[in-house]
Amino acid sequence: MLHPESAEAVVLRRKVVLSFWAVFVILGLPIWIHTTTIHRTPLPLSAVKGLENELKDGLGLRSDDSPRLRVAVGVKESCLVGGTTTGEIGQELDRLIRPDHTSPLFRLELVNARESALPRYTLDCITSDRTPLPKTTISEADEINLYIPADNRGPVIIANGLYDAFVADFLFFNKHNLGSNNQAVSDTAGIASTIDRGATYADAIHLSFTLLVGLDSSTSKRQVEALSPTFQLEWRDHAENVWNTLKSSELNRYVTSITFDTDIGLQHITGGNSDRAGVEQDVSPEKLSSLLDTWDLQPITLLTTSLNSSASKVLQFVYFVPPDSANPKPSVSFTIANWGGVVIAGESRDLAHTMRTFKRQIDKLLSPVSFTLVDATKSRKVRPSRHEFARIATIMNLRGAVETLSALSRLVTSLQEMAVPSKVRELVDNAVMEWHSAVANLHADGDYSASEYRGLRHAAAAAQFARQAVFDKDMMLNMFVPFEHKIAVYLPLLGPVIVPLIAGLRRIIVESRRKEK
Amino acid sequence: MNELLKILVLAFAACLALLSAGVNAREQTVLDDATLKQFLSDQLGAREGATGKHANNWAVLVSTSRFWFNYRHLANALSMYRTVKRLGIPDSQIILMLADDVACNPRNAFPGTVYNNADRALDLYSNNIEVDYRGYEVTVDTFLRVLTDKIDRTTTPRSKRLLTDEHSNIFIYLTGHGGNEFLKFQDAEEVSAFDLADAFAQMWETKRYHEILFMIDTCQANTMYSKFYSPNVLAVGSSELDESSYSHHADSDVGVAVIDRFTYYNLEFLEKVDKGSELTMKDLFESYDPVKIHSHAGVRTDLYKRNLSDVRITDFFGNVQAVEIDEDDDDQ
Repeated sequence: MLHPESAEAVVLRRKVVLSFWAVFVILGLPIWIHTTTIHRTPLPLSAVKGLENELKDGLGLRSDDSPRLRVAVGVKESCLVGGTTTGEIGQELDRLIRPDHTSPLFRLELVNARESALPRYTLDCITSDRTPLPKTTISEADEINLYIPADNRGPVIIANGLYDAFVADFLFFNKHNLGSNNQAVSDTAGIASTIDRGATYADAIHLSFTLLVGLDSSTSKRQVEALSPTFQLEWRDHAENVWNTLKSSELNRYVTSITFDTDIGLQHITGGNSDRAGVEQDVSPEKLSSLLDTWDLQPITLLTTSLNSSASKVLQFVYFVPPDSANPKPSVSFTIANWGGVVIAGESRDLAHTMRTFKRQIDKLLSPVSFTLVDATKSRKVRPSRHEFARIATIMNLRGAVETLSALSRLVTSLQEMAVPSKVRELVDNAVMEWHSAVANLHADGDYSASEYRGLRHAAAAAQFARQAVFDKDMMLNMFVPFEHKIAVYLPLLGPVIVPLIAGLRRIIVESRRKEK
Repeated sequence: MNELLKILVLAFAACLALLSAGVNAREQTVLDDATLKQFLSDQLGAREGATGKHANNWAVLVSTSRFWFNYRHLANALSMYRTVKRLGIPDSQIILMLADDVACNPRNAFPGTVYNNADRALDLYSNNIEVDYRGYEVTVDTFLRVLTDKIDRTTTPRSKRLLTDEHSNIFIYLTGHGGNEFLKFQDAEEVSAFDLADAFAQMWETKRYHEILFMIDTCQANTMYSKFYSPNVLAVGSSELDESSYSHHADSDVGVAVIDRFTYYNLEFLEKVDKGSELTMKDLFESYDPVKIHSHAGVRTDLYKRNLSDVRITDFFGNVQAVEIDEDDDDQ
């Protein structure tokens, strides 16, 4: 039988239990919550959404008075139910295509369907039993943007996707009055990818030229002479003319010469075929791609420190001169996006031609070559001016910044266990600020008289800040710990403490209730 | 005493209740089929060019096991390394992570070599390999940072980064010891299926891949891809839930097993593949024989939109560059 506790012992026991509880609740719990809560700095997600909307609306650069596009709209019979007339359909359509419609770039004007010279669309209707009129819808997937200058002269540009349309609009709206209604840009999706290839800003561009020449080649001396400072200067000048942002870009070129004693890799593309014409006809991208694997190009080792910057662009250019004994010697040149270009010298070693080829390859890889306007009689190339190109590059970087920030928003929202350090908030704020500065410069630059590419630098900074934010090394996801593992860790730690505390508290409560009775 | 007993019983009951609630909560976060389909459709629709061709190939090959008796896991990874190199992926586009160095292990009867076959016909650890992460560098944190590129750029050289973009096809190969929805790293930590799924989600959002082929050779491997939810991921594992994966054979002179069955039969198929091969992923998956592998290899295709009979082996195991032959318009 247990001895009854003395009054002092009871008081002491209660004080001890309550003290432990006080430490546990006042000190222990807050420390535990603080050290186990994932730190997530709130990000300005609404500001990012605002940038998305601003880009979607055309950055305020479009004309307030969108051109009125005259189209003929045929109406399918499925729309003419319950006595509905085409007039009523037309009214419904016009109601949908209001001035405040979300499409910012044109307004439809319905005309007599007999005017066959006009672009023609067919309106399809979804019929609902409960509506007096068939419900007319123009889904976003069917949206096709057409660009006609306000006076209805000039090229009709067909673009899919609001962004492509915006770029085309920026380039051609009221700028290139070519006088023919039948001209059309052949492929705006191709234009967008060409722009993508070249227009993203880089704070350093490295052009690395490598000469691969056979030991027994009689032209090796000439190849070396070809890489004299004159030609190097010519390449550099050309690259500067093409890459209009070189005021803030550093252009570096490296030239190495590698000789070898076998025709490395030529068999990859000739396949042992001795018929030169047959080989040249047969050369395929896959064979040319595999040729690169056989070369051990090491100029990259010269660029180690610079290349750690993710804002650098590196392009390699290889002049491959097969040995004199090689037969056949195919003459072909090719480019690889984000890698560079190769010229394989054929029977004739025309250096001037090679230099021109490299110039064209630099053109292709660093900037859009041209937009081809095609009509029934001829095609004509239209090149953007340096300033226009810089503005396009600005818009490309702004788009990149918004896409990156939107991706960040989605990740932060969906992955609740991802830490968000305060540094990321600063980077996002900076990106938004630079974005607005870039747009302000675009507006200020509207008369095309500014020579400074301020807008582009701000846009590049916005894109750079956005990338730094989304790839911040401290913004890692906390590892998933299965719940049973948490129990296994916490139970041995807390069990020996919690059980006596609960028992002690319960006893205090029971004793208090007995006293009250 | 009775009081104490009651409290203990109550505490135990509370733990059980919390445990089941926790497990249920996590399960409910997994997307159901209909939601997953809609999510995938939205994701693909939002990304322009997501259905286009890829322009370059990368490989991430990881052996997560330490210790001499896990020799076969390193041989697995090195075998895959040799295969992708043979098919054209350059070292600059391969991230090879080996958690241990069996080639220089004092127990290795053939120092400086690693073999994947008892005939020792091929030394995988020749003078032309480039190991990017070795030994204790191979951790869950490093692996996830490589995938998501959340890496210290001032100290990490480009050769140790996965410099992929939205046009990159990535072959990710993991081998080691695993269990139900986890893979063990270094005998010290684990990466869970959820972590991997979230890493792929980050890669998708930041446009770091075009398509991923995820291949894993561990016990209960198929559970590791069960939580994926990002588009354009094709996953294959060596064994089902509650199933083990087995080694193929041992080398009596080396003293340990030298290759695993699933990897062995993959390699057997891949030896028939060259750079111009037209064999497809469907052919590869149809070659899996549970009788030979001693486990049921699984393939997950619901996240992958292309028909497997149209997907060449070289789309993931080989290398392609987007070559454009220049037109000969010589205007000055």
